[in-house]
Amino acid sequence: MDIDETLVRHVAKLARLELSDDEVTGIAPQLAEIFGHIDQIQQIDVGDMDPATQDPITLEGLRSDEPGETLDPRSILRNAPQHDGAFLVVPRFFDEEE
Amino acid sequence: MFGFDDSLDLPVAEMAQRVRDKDNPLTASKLVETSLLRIETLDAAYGAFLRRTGDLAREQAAAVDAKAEAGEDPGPLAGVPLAVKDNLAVPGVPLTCGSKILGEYIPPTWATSVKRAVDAGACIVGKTNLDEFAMGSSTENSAFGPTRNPHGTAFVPGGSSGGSAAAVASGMAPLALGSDTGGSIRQPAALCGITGMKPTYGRVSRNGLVAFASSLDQVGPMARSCADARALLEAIEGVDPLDATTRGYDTAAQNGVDLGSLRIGRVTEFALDDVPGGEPAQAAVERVRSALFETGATDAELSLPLVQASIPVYYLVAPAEASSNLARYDGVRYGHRAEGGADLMDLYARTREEGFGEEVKRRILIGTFALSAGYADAYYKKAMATRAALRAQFDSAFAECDVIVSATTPTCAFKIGEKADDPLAMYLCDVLTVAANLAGLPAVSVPCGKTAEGLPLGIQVWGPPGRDGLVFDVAEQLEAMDGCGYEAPEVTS
Repeated sequence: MDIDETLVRHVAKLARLELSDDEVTGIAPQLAEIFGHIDQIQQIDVGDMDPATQDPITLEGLRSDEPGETLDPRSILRNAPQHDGAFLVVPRFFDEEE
Repeated sequence: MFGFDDSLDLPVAEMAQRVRDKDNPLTASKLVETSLLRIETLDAAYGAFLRRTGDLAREQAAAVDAKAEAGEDPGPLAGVPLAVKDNLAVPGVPLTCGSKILGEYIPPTWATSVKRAVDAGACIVGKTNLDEFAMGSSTENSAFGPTRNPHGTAFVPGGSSGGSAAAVASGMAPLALGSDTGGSIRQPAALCGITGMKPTYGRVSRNGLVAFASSLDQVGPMARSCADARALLEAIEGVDPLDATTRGYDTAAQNGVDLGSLRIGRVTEFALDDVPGGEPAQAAVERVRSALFETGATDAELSLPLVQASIPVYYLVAPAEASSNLARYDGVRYGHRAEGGADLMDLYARTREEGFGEEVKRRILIGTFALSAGYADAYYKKAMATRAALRAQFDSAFAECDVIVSATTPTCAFKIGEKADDPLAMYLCDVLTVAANLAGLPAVSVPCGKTAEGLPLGIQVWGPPGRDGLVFDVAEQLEAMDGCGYEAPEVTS
């Protein structure tokens, strides 16, 4: 797999990471080396093995839906960088006209 | 040890028994004060703790002592000081995950595993250092600086639970909790000369453990002996309604297996003959295998070809899950937020650029790429199919043997900085541990001698899913052999 700086920038955008030019230059050859190693799995024949197999994670059943204590909203809000006492605050992402 | 009160060096069961016995002068408060004093004195040299929780520990110790005084049973871990990896939640105590992105995050709830240990009488003396979000094999990736190996402070303690390993190895706390996604309990345990155990996937609740790779993560015990580690595991194991992947396995308690009847597996692909610096670890494996055969145990030679693919599979599956799990750190709900984001997308990208360290970014990129349109079939799906096939190979192997014995790491601890600029070399440190996570198996590392330069080596015992008790039974025999087991490091502070 050829991994170059263009691909790294594309993936960083998908991952919501704003990498600096220096970071892109540094990471591209590292990822190329890592995927050079990873690419050996392309040679493995696993037949018709189902990749969606849940094992070793087997669910024993889900818990019943019973009312109970919930977290105090203040204990959640106090960890947020910005809130108005009831809601988390983020930059506006719709224009007024919309 | 070190001129301190030595009650902290007793076996955990004995320490707790003395605390439970109200006629014995040993109290939880005394154990906690001894632990806090050792941390105060020694930790400047090791950097094992990110935060000391003296007030909390004293409060918990007072509660244990009050119970004992009132004739109630404070539990099997009564008064035992416990170090907790800083990716496990303790309400009211800031949690960092070794990252800047969480800021001063204060968890509102308990991690189930920590709460169970405290309910059994353990007292939390501090939160320990780790590679950021548990991503690393050396504890050099912490945003708060590295931890040093108590057996030589120029060397790494391993990782990612390096702080917990150094805390136990140096005698600052007799017990610690770690988490193991690809070897993060066993590898630092081996490198620091202590016992570390990754339970069967689903034995211990992950509720309150900060998620890295949810299908691989497991909380487990770190201690100076198998008996101590087992006592902690018994306290924290069991079904938890808050983690739907927990299962009710038989307890990990002693089950009195006849060692002479066991078939000891040797996996051809785990041989270290061609690994530079692998000779001492390979020699240790041969030594303990010979000793096991003297008890009447028999040899089972096995080949699991897909073990050779476990690093590529792991470094696709774990980053893929991490890229999804770490999407929640976006500057909206937790800790850090970048200043002056023009819009929401800009806010996310800049917050994550500022908040995450290099290794975390690298793994998010690997995982995002492995899941991206056009590449997911070749990478993520292929890795998951290979993982399923690897698990099937282990199922067949455990029809032919009862346990597998291998080295825990190919080499002893390396120098701080030695692999910092070579991520692939760092990933290859996990070559003997990741398969247990991919297959959900229990595995324990016990100390087995040292290299010529005085650095510890670990031997690993693997078992079939749910047979954590058997794995400990065998490991206890290894631990009792000449030259094996915990040895206190010389104080280097």
